[in-house]
Amino acid sequence: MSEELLGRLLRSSLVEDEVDTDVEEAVMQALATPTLPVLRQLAEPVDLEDDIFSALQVVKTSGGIPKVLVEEVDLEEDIFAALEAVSHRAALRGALSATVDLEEDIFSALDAASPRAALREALSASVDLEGDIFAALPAASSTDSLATLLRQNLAAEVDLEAGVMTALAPVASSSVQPAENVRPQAKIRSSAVERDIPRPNPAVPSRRMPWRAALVSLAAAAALAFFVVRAVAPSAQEDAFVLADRNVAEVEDLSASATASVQVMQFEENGPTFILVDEGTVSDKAVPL
Amino acid sequence: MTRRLALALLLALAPLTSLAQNRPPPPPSAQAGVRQVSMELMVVHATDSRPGVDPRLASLASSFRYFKYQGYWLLSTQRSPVSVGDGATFSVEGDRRVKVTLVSVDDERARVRVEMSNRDGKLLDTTVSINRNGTFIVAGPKYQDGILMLPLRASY
Repeated sequence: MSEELLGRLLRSSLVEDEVDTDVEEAVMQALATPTLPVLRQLAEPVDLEDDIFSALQVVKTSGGIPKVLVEEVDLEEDIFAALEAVSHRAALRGALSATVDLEEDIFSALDAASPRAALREALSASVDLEGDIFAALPAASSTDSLATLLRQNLAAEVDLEAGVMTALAPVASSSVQPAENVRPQAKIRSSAVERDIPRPNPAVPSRRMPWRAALVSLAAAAALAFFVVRAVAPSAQEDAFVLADRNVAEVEDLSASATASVQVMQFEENGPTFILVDEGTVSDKAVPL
Repeated sequence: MTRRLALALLLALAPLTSLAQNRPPPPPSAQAGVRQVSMELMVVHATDSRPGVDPRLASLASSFRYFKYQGYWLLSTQRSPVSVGDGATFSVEGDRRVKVTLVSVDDERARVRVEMSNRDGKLLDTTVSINRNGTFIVAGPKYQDGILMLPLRASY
């Protein structure tokens, strides 16, 4: 069945259905002239386009859909990546490149890619985006296995992204082959900080101080500080009684209580003079030899 | 790391060196017209219960050997600056007091009056002329199992 014939059938079917939503009108208008220039007239530059183009470009050049989806959580990007995988026609990319409204673009792209009858059913009830997409995918997909997997994984309104990734993994590994003329991109470094960290060379001894050396250094510093403090602090030698070389004392007046006796003694020529006071309790040990 | 460690040590030792520089100044030197003398009284316990000589009393060990006690230990050291005509009172173990009065002083000698008393009254009253930075010792008051020896030095 040729595209021209499918287009006529689809247009006739859509005309017969009474569709009263703006989205459907836009889709119908686009479908009425399913040519790429007409679709591009609807284009307005929005951020969505960049995402779509980026996803499409990566999917096209890397050959692996999961590579895109693993690190992305953007629903729209996933959807367009899935669409790209199931239909590699140029018309799909052209339709997606002129996107303003997500739903309208998707439906237009689906129609341009595969104007089967099932698409009409999906467009006729364009209220739930995800439901429409999943319903439209079987019609747009040239590989029914992908649509089946998507339905099984996502029909129950579970995590859409996880379902898409799970469903796309086997399809991509089996049907999508990496391009041979694509050079792998250089690994993206995570940050400037990581880039500046020097890598240790196993052949060169590390200049970092190991923990044992650090402990030894601290102990040495503590010991040095201890000895310095001891050297600076007043020592017992400093508090020692300093006896002059010459000690000459002359007792001029001397008196004691009636109960005590006093003696003056000099043992050495320049030694100190002793004034011995005997209170009556001094033992003979206090008496000099 | 070595430079950092050395710097840390220098910073840590800096206060210590400043502490070393903050030592007390030397006693009053021989200036013309000496009017003040630093009187230092040490309390030494002569005992048999603890043999040995206190390292701080090493300079007096030769004098102690004339006594029969086995140990000589420093109990306290007291210092007080006194002027001519003024006195300083020191507390001594055994509820005793020693009052030292500077009678006169010149470049060579100082005359000091020493009064020792206990609870019962004055025990000793003497005036001693001592050479500059010289020492004499009052000994005999009973303390515990031994006696007290009171080296007194006039520093100026």
